[in-house]
Amino acid sequence: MECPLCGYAFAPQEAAAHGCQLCPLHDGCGAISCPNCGYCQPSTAKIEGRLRRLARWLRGESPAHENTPQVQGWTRLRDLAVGTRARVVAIRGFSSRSAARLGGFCILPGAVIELLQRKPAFVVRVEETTVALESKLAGGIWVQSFLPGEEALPAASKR
Amino acid sequence: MECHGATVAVTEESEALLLVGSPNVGKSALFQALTRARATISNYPGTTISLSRAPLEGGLPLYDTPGIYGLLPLSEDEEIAREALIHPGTSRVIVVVDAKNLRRGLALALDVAEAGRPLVVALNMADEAWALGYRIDPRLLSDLLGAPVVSTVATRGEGVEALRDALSQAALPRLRPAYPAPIAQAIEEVAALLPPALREKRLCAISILAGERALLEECAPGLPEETLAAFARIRKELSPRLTMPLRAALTAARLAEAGKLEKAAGRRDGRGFRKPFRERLGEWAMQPVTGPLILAGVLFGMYKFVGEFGAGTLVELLERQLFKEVITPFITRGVEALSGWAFLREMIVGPYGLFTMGLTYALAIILPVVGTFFLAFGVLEDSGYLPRLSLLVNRLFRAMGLNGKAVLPMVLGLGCDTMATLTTRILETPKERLLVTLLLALGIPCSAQLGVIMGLLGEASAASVLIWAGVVSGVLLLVGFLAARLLPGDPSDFIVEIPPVRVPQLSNVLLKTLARIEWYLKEAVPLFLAGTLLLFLLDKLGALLWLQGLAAPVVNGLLGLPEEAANSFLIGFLRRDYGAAGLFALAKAGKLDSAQVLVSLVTITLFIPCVANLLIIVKERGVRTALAIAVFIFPFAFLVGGALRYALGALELTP
Ligand SMILES: Nc1nc2c(ncn2[C@@H]2O[C@H](COP(=O)(O)OP(=O)(O)OP(=O)(O)O)[C@@H](O)[C@H]2O)c(=O)[nH]1
Ligand SMILES: [Mg+2]
Repeated sequence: MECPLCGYAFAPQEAAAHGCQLCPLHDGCGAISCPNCGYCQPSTAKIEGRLRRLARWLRGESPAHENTPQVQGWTRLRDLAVGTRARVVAIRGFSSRSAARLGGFCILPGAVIELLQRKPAFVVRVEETTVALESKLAGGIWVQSFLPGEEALPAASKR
Repeated sequence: MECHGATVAVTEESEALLLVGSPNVGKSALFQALTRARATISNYPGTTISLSRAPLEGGLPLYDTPGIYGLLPLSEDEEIAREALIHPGTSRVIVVVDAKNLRRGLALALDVAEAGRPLVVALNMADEAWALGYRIDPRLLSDLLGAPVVSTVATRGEGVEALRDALSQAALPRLRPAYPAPIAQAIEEVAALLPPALREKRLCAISILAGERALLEECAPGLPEETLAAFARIRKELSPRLTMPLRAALTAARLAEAGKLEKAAGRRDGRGFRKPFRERLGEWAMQPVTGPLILAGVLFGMYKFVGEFGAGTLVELLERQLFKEVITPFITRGVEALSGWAFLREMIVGPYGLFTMGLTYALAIILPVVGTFFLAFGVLEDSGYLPRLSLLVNRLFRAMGLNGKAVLPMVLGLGCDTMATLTTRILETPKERLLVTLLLALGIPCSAQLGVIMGLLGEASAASVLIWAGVVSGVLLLVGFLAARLLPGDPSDFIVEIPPVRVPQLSNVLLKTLARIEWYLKEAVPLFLAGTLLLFLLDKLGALLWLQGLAAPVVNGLLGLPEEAANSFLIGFLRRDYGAAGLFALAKAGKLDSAQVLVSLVTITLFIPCVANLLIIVKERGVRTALAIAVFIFPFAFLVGGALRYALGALELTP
């Protein structure tokens, strides 16, 4: 899980080993304290996540990342056709570390990204940077395809 | 891989200069061009993993650093670079930018500027940017940014003079990224609470807001409790006002600012460049069908060049023709003429002679192999193939609790396990670093050993090569698979930058090969001589036979090898390649049949890593880990060897 305050990603056990163990309420207060900054968040998130995943499974959908944005026209990078370009609109379900890595490659909301291949791993291109990432991550990058007129714009003039 | 990887720390100098930038943008190439000192330059991110230092012409020291993606580090090598940047001695910085990725590079320059050091921007790879149609006006860029900007081609030395001249005008950029108001305000608030004299105040403030403690402890230790509480309060107030994670918001703001600069000072001419053939080759190397084919081709080529030409033809030429026929008789005569003392004579040219055994192994058997391997490897490194390989094998590495990124240290291990162990710094989690250290120590043969093995197996049969490779990789997979499940911690996600395919420069490949051969000679030859001397003395004292007897239950009983093979394992403690060379000599003397060759080679491949490697493991991972690794590997190698012997016997396989 990730601390909403400092963005530090940690496992619930780690929190238990740090702050929660010292706390008199440590058995079932329903909150988890971030081992980095101490900020407490309700731990129901975990159960919720499980329920959501179960519901998805019952509906026969593939397991996906949390917080799926339901905006029209948004697709995952994973579902984009090879050779097409699209604009990144959201990065979801990444650990803060991996999200920072992507940022370092300019893969942020607003970036124009081209999918070069999907197997054995995804390869994308942002401007002159080529990045390989595994398919699990390609499920967390949400993109919006260009409208017919829009995509005619050449890469150069968009920069 | 750096063979002369002495670790340097920024020392207390009143003034030192630093090269920083994204990985693989040509920092080391610029370092070499500016100082004429030797640096390892390769076409993949993560070449430089520690600091190196050399004086500039004016006498000021210049430091080369590992590549960074930003100033909030995500791996150990990035930490090293940031530490050097905020060191009090660092007075000016050269930010190296890949000119064809201008926006990304300028964003990093704006990030580096937060550390409060005057800087100069080098727009490197200007040749590649030009070929792609990018036209950038460095003077305009410099005016807009408020710091000198110089266009360079490090590999050809272009613009290096201008860069040197610009150093005296290094300046803190006037331009500041426009961070979202709440963030900008929080940075100001935190910075106001930090010691006023702190140069990297803003950087420190940003890292505090990002929830990082390391930097604060580094540059402003011992702040009062109230101040720390105030930091926590500012962060708590900031978080609900953020619309996206802090890091992303900061990066986005810098990229936006850099984008404006790029638009103003750069444009792109013409379009529809034909993709050069090498780029297409690079794409094929990553795809499902062509990728494995290209990999097979690369392996086959390496085998032909190193295994057959290096370990076969060259060794034959050197050992048989040159040493046996010419040099050895000459030296023997010389020694005999000079001294009648039998002890001395035997020490130099006897069966365990410093010359006949130590130097002959080092120079006639191993050197040709190491030389051809490093040559081929240098070509591979400079072409940009290695990151593509990491993509191809990512799935396989996942089974071992790693990801494709770990291919880099593993493949470098084929050059030298010791330096590869240092390269584990580029991996993101402690678990991954430990796993790779273990696998390197266990079963990745270094070039010297690999060459001897190839030479021996090549003569036996293709089947033995396959069995050897199958057993060793099977063991690596199995141990990796189990260790990944036993060790705590998580692997990281696989995200790797793929560099462009480049035509290797002959001069760079040759320089690297020479540097590595020199390192081999310096590191291995003394150990070879020491090992030989030890064997000689043990033999003279009669202890060798006693030791052989002691090892007989294992060497003879378990592995089914002649008792003299114990010598090879004994010197294998010093270096595995030396042990392998001993087996080589034994086989050449006709004392091993093909099954015995196979069993002994598998055992020596999995044997204890060399002394240098163990020392590096101690340094990087601690004594306890090093001991645990050694204690596991030692019996394990013999067990696998024994199992193989019985398996071969039971299947009645005669490779
Ligand atoms: N065409 C061209 N290639 C360059 C230039 N500068 C460096 N290179 C190549 O770029 C690759 C990377 O160069 P390095 O100097 O190793 O890069 P680095 O920034 O030190 O890389 P890391 O140490 O991995 O961070 C090598 O293959 C160089 O030959 C340049 O100006 N033009
Ligand atoms: Mg370098």
